[in-house]
Amino acid sequence: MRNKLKVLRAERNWSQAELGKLVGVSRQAINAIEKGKHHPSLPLAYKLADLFKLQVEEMFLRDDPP
Amino acid sequence: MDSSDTNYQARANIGVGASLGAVIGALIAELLSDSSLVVILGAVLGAGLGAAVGSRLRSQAPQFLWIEYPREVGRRLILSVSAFLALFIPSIYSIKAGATLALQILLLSATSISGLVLILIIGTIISQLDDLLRKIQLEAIAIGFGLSAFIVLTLGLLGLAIPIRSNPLLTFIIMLASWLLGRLVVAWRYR
Repeated sequence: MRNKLKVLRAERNWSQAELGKLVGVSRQAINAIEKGKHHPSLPLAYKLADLFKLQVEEMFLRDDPP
Repeated sequence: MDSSDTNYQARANIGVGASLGAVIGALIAELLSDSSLVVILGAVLGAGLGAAVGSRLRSQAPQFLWIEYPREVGRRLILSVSAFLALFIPSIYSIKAGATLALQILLLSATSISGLVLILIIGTIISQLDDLLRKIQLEAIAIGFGLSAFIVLTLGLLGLAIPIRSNPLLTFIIMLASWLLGRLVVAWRYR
């Protein structure tokens, strides 16, 4: 699964720590999600999507679409 | 992260480093010698070394080793570990010094209860962490459990063939070291 988190964060000029604070997770969690090493839980994915005013499926993209 | 958070993390790293260092130092000294003075020296040396490592962790360690736990989580962990240590060390000395049976039972009971409280607090803390930090801790515990079970079993089997100086504290050191190793491995994986 890929995601647009790094691009969206960069557009707003936020650091990983700042974004982490906004959605209530650690800097490490944001870093791991951006690098694709960790997939967020559904509640966190919705929090991130709400923050960037996007749908979850617009932020998180499947590698193997049906 | 603002400067108060950074200062807090630096203090927490020193506190956790000193506490862990004191325990490891005291336990290793206790394995090597029966002298109380050596154990105290081991604890002091371990605390100093742990504090030094903790104070350097923030500025010089690779970034993947920085785990920034929420302030309240760090505070509760340091308080519960300190309370456990404050009872654990005197209870060992009460046995070594040949204190009255009543005092030994009192101290050992208090240590056991504080150990139980520590386990409950660690469980609560893990459940309150975010997705990734919880995953890191649980994977580290799983690796630590598997590795320590393997080492203890191997030592036990080896003990059947050749005499090994038995010490119940050795198991604790092996568990602690295995968890630390697991923690490093998992932190590297999610760096």
